[in-house]
Amino acid sequence: MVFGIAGLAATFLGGPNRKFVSEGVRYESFTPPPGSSDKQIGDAVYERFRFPLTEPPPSWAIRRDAAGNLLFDFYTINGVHKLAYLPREGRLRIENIRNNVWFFLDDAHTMTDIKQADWRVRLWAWYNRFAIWSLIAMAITGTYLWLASRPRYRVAQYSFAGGAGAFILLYALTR
Amino acid sequence: MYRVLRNTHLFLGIAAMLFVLMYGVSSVQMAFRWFSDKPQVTESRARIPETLADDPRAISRELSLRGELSNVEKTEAGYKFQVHRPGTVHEIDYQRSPREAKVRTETGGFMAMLNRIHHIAGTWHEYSLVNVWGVFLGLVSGALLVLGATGIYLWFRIHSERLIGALLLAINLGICITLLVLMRTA
Repeated sequence: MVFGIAGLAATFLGGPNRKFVSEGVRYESFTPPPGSSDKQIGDAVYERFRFPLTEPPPSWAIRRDAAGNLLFDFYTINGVHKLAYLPREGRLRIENIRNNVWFFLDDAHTMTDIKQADWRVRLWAWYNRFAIWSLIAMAITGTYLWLASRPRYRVAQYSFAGGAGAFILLYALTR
Repeated sequence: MYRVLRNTHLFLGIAAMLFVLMYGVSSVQMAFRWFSDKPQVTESRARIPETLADDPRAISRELSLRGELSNVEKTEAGYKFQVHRPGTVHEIDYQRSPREAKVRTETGGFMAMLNRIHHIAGTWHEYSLVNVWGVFLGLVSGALLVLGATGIYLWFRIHSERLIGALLLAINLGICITLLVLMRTA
């Protein structure tokens, strides 16, 4: 069900139709310890907020813009926390963008990495992996059940030929 | 009612079988990082006729490159851009003087194709074949919902398997909904 909803969300709401709704911007004063590296500042910001379902930002996710502000985004399946440390102003810019429920489910269906800091996401990733194998098993056993019970059923044969033919034709044309 | 839903389940299930297998197998590849598949890389150069417009779209047509135009970057010498379709990416470096295009093509194997098809969605693409995939994949996503609902109905009509089925369904829904709620409200 989650996979189906994810596919429909991507089909009808994704791409250029996807809207990111900000919950607003707020500022908080922040002064990192003198001599801190960008990574250490990122870790300090993470420790300060500890946004749910997030992890400390990896070095590659920390970058500076042309004005020298330090930018780091904390992605979760609920959305993204976009933070910027503004050294000249001595404060942090914080913007939270929350996924609607459809993109929450869309992002949830991609969560298969079991090396997650948060136990809820880790359990979900295990569940997702189980669901992937179940999906494959359903496709194979469903076909077997058809062949074992009503293989001569004409309409079923046409359905199979139509679906498989469309897939193979599209694959060949795309290749 | 039972016959209608049973046939609906059967027709949809076997019509969508290869699409569902594509989703499943490519998910295994992504989740477990199996089937590493290095793309084949080829490079070529081509002369661009003087009469042709100085435009990435016209150049890609001249070079018979199929796919969507993306990452267009205007450089001092000309253009850099990509033309891609599932499983194939062309990187073009076009220079006005001399009017020449260097084309670097990465072609993925079967698993790379499945991976890229898995990520297709919608019908807003420039390359019409991808839009056709988008239509089918949207239909298959809808079919997954119908298959789930009709599957539960068909199981419920088998009285001898109600107890074990109810137990499995309760465990499944319990885990799934609890985790989703816990993550959503975190």
